[in-house]
Amino acid sequence: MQTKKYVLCGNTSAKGISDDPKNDIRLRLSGVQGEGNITLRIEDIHSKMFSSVPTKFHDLLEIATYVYSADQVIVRGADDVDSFGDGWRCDLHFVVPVRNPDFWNSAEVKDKLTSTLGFLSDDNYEFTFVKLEQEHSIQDYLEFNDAQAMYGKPEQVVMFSGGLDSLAGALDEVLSQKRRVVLVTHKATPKLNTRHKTLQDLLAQKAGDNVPHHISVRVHKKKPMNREYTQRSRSFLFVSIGATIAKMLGLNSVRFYENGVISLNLPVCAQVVGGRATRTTHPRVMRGFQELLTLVAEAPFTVDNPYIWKTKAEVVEQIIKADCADLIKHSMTCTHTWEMTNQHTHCGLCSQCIDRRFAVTAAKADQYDPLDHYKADVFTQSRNKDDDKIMTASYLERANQVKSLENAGQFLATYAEVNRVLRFLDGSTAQAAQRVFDLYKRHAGEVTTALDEMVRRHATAIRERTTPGDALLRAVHEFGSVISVPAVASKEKVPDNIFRKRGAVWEFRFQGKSTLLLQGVDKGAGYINLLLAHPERETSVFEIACGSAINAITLPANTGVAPEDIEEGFSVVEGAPLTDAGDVADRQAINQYRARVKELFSEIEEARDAEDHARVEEIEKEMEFLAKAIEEGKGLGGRQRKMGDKRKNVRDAFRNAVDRAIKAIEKYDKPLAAHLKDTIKNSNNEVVYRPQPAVVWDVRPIVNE
Amino acid sequence: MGHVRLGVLPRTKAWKEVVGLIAAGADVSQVANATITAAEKAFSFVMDDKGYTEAVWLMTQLSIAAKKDDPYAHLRSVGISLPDDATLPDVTAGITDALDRAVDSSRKRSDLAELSGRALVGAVAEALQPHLNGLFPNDKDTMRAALSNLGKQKEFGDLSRSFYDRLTNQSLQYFLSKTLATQVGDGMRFATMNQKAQFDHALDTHTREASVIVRDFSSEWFSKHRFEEGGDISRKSSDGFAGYALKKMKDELQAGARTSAN
Repeated sequence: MQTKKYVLCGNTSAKGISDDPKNDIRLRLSGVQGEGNITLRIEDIHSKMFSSVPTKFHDLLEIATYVYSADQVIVRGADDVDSFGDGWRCDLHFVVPVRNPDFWNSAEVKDKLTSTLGFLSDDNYEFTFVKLEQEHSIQDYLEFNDAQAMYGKPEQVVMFSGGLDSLAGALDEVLSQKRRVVLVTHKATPKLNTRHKTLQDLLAQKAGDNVPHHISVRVHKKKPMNREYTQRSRSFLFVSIGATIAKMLGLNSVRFYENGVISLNLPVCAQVVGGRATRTTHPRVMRGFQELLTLVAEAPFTVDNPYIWKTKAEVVEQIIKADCADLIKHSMTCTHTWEMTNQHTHCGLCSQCIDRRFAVTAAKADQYDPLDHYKADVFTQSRNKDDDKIMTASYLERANQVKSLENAGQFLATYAEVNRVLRFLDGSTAQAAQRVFDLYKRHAGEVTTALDEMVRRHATAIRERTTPGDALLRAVHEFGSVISVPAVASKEKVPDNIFRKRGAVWEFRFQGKSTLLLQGVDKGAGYINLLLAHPERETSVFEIACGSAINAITLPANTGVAPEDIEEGFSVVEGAPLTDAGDVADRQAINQYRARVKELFSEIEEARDAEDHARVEEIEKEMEFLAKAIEEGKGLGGRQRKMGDKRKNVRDAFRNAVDRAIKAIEKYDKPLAAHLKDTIKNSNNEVVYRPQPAVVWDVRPIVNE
Repeated sequence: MGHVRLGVLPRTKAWKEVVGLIAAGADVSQVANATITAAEKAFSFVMDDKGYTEAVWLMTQLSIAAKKDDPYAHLRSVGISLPDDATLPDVTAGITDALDRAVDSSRKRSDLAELSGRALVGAVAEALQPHLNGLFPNDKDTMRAALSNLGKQKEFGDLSRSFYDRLTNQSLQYFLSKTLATQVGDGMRFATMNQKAQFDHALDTHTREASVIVRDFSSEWFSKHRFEEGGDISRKSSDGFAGYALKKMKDELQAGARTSAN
């Protein structure tokens, strides 16, 4: 939870409330007392519609505008994994001037307001209502326009976003039920104006003499205030405006049209908790709005969603049934409005675009929803952003998971979020649970139907691999199968003890336990690999450093195997990995050093056999020089590496590298780390791996699989 | 409407190691271990989390209620209201309501509280379902009989195991779901969605097997404390249990519990 923020509205004072005024947020509606930082405009009100509304509705409008605006001013820090996403939730204390402070400060109203908003946006709310000092008229927010014809007294206020669901709802009301409706649209961005107008005109053509009346709502904030795009509390503003208009018209209800899968918005994956999935039209929120509006109206008030038991594909089918398929392409579903262009009206990758594409495909209506309106095709194209990849995969995985569930009991256990909705739906909780399960089952079926259809259409491209490797249709090639069986069972017995380079990482296994991976400690792991390859052999650290340094040049993947080992028959596949000599400043000199080192490896063995200690020391000195020269010649990341020019530096570097590697191993395999600590013995310039009893290691690198 | 906010893992050293291990093909036990290590700071706040401690408290009280003369009255006293003819959804919704109320009144909503709620509801549903005849029991005694089972020492161990299995699995997936799906595609860790699903399945198996240690500990703890506290379990005892049980689970996962998924 973020630290508490005080939101001071209008000209209210923080005195006695806020203890740190410099962190307070000041919101002021324009038109109340001169120029403010928020403007509320309710446009296209026909003069015949207007009638005065109780002042509690006037208060409600302003409270909702302040809540919505504060939601966009405070940035949500959702991605802080160190605190389990603690920064996602805000702690807000509003101080709001109202006309009816006694009403708004009553325990019942405050409780309903804070609990509904808290569930809606996942934030903590506290309100202090003070007496408004300077009264003004509600008409300050209204813009009258009599250009639209009024076809009799409206019977229903419908919230109209311009998406597929609200479009289907409007058509249902106007064409099927022949009701006179007012459609209320929140215009969050002017980018949508033209498309809204087109949709409005087309609706009018279909409606004949029952043309719906359109009212637009805009909330404009000064630029620096638009910091957070999530708008979790948007529906509170939306419903408050709808209810105020309904009250003006003498009606006692507002209606949302939203399919049930989106309304319930069950999490698509484990990271989606609480309000990360919006609850805009969640049944608990709708019930909260209804109860709050009943208190404000002082009479029963209804907020409902007739599409709660429909999937989006079923909504699309409804549009087609109404003979209005030609309107589908003009509806707007995309939530990434900032990506919208004249050509691409949908991003194609946000959760809503994905759901829309699957729905129109499942409903066999994708011919009415042109693909070129989408910036990206979710089925056949790569997704560049990580969150787009996660969204698509999670959407599919949820459908796959729901499809595999056998009964509603399993559904409740798997999607605990469902339990938050059961008491806010019609019927008993058991009946509601069964209906929600059936709804999601149907949706999962539609998702897989759409996918099957797309796989069928693109079968050739999938087989020929002409679609990108991470395109959805390639990735779901085995989709639906939970366990796959390898075509040929592996009969190879995995050795009990492994310490080897595998591709770009080190792989290890000890005493027959799990095979684990090691990264970021290449040098030390290379040294350990060399020691394990030659148990009981006392070796000069300079010799190992030389061998490792040469390997670093000859084997870019740094296999960790000394050149002589390769000659002795390690199964390193020659070819690509051996051809790249790395970034060597003077390759000829390095090659000469390598050749000399090879000679020295032979000479040092001979000197040891002859117990010629003076010669051994002489060779070690030369090896130290060569190791330094080769290391500097190789460099790391384009930088010159300084090995130092003293023997101690080489010894220290060796030991530190080995210690770092053992420490990294310890995180995953304590017994192996303890074993290495016990058995790798250092003395002066010599190092040896001496296990008791002997341990057989597989140290052969695997460089191409 | 219908937005979903997703995140990705930060590019810190510890989380880069997790991502690197997944990309390199590490098995679930090592990935789980690396994830818990990377999330050490997040887990350090767990005992301050009202949602987690309340979930453990309600779990103990479900089992305590089972041996009371009026189990429903006891459950009501801890915030779980059930109708006389309670069904499985009544119980799971009742638990969810009780948790939400407790967390809301403390003004401490959190992601861990959400994960704890999911784990508890899932564990209770799993425990009760075999004793019920679907969602619509024939009579009101069916649910009472099912709930009374939770009062047995062994059953509490199983319930607790299921809870910690789900909680750790969900917590690991809370982090891992911020990266796993980015590694799906030809030439990547998971060539297909199916391979990623197999990884998820292996992680399920891994946490389930690791949770055995909690089952044994829990059943003994429950029996001992119920006896010592005269048929009840106090919040203090429950909080102590919550801290120790999660530590045991984390230690087991960090010790690299072996799974059949390797």
